[in-house]
Amino acid sequence: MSDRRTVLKVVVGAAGAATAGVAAVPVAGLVVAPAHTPSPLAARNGGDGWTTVARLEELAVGQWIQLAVTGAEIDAWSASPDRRLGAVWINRRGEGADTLQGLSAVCPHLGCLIDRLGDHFNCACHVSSFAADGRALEGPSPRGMDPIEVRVRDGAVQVKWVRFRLGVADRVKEG
Amino acid sequence: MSLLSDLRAVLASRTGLGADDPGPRSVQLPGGASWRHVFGSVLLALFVVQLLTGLAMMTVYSPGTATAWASTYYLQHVLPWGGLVRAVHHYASHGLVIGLIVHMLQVIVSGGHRAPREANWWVGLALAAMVLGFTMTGFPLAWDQRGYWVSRVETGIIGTMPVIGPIAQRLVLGGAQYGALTLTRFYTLHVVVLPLTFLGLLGAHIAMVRRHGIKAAEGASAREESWWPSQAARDTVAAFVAVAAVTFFAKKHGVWLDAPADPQSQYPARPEWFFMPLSQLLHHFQGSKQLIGTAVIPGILTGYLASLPWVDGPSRRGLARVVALAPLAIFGVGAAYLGWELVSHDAHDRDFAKATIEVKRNARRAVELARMGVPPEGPLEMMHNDPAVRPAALFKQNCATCHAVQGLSTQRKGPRLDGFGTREWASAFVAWPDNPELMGTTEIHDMPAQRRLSDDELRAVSEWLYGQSVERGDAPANAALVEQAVPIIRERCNGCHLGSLTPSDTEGMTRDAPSLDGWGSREWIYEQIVNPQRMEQYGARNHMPRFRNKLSDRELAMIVDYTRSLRARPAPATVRPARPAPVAPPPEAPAPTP
Repeated sequence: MSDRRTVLKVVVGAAGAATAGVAAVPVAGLVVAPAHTPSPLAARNGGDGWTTVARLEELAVGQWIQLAVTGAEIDAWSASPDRRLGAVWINRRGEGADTLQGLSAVCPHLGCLIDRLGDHFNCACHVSSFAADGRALEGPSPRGMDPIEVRVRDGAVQVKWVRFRLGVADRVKEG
Repeated sequence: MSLLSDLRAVLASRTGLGADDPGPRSVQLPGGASWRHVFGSVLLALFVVQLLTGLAMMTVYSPGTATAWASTYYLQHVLPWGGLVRAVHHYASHGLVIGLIVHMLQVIVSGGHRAPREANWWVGLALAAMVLGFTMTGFPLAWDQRGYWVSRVETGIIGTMPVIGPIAQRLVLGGAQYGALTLTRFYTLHVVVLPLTFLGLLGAHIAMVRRHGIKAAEGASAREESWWPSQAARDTVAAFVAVAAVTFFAKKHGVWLDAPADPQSQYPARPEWFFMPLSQLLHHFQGSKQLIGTAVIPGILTGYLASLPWVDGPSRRGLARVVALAPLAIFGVGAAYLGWELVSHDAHDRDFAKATIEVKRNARRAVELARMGVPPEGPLEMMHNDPAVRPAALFKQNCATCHAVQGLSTQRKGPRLDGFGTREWASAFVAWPDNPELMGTTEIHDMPAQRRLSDDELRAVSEWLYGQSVERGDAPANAALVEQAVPIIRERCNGCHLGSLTPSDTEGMTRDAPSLDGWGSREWIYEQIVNPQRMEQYGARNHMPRFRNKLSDRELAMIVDYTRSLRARPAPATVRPARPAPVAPPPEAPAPTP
């Protein structure tokens, strides 16, 4: 009798575990899937990465100006042709086309947008301040503002928009 | 071991868990453990599967008319495991319906609905109704064609119910129309309201089972056996078989994601098999009798089941019991017959078969397009701008209402456009401009059949005309033939048709035959569509409607492209008219050009 009971208990355990396994494996697989499955659209994110943000003649010499970066945004299933991707600070230091300097307006600390305050940059979220050239001055930001490549093509000011990992001292591009 | 028992003691003293309640283990089963009693546990296991798969899908699914289909597509076709989880959720719902039917029959046969278990029978009925509620609210969530249209039919029926119908419908839809709010309301019902209510009722159901015990089958042995472990082993094995079967089915067959819901489309909506009998009742009771199918018969069934504790009361035995349960058999056989009737009718319906092929094609195309990204406006926008489908739809809607095209339209008010712009079309036209096979019932009959053109000359003229339509990517016209055609065109055609070959000394003459320059080219087709009455073409006598300002430039471009794509189709054969030229049927002995 006790043998029979033992067998039955083993059956309960085995069948119960098997049922739970069959039910839980696909569920767990799906729940973690987005963490390791990039949107297949991202690979197709076309272009050479340069987006136009202004015309050169719109930029006054010796002044920093914040410009919106728009471009195609891929988010899981959705592909939007022109979304606001971020913002850059651009400084035209002289007359020539090669005098443009670009800094990401995304604070390297935790991603708030950096504003201009007098003659330096300031992030209002946690009061990080940066020098006119982007060096970190005070506050919690672990590094200076991130440089963004700028070029001029046929009078159009173009930037190569990149996002960097936040909160770390090293400048690492985000995939 | 002592640590474990210590922990248990602490847990019991602090939380009460495992203290006084011996749990289900001690429940005694009259008649002993039996496979007959496993169905409740099977249903419970399937319900847990639904909770788990449902939760997992909620981490991806995004309710909203612009995102529901797209996120379901992403779940099913992009994310690993997503297709399987969705299919498991789908087939587990079928498993629940089957399990419910078996469970109910088992309870009825063993008399489990009789006193003192009436209350639990009713709770069971409510749970069964809620399973149907789950399927009805879950079906449209993917916002694909099938879910959308089946659900529209169902909510339409709600609106026809007497007295409360219109109000109930507005409550369900979230207003007057089936739309964005309907989706969010169904979603809320499906993932919060129904599961919580179901869990509550399920708790009551199980508590009452434990209060009254399992009803042994008639004639079962008098011995009692505890649930643990004999029945528990049967329950878990049965639960495993059910869950494994559902998963196997899901893996093997998958579940279909239809094209995105399109409120402006025609769709042959068919519900899931368990709603097919109800659907077929609509076919049998139409017009003023519709309520018989939608309310009276389902109402009688519900009332019968609810009153079963009395109809089939404890005192009924033998023949009296057979009589009391006969309606159940009648309903069962009737439902099976209705379902079979619908399925077999569809199987022999060629229109339905054609529509089904179209449905599958649209669904596959939708997935192909979604792979390139769904626009923020939603998948319907994506479908409407499909470069491969939209032109055909536009052409069908605007052009095929008059023009004949093989397989698309049999209208004869305008010229047949199969092969329009090719040598073959040109040849067939020049040989016999009134050929009804080619020109249908077009009302301009001024151009005579070119009887005096030899077959060789006809070939040259056709080549010249083809040359007018050649664009990048087309095979070039045969230069020698074109050369040969020029004097013929000058002599035979330019008397009426204006064009670059027109001799300069005829300038100022008024002729209303169309210019032949660029005939069949994109530009020629475009001009013909936006202004068919312009003087360079047919003039005011042309009955074709103007499409300028009726269609956007983009739509016009699509139609032009589509018309050009018809060049790949075979043009009608060249036929020389009999003498005198007949108005109707073409002569039987065609003289095709070499």
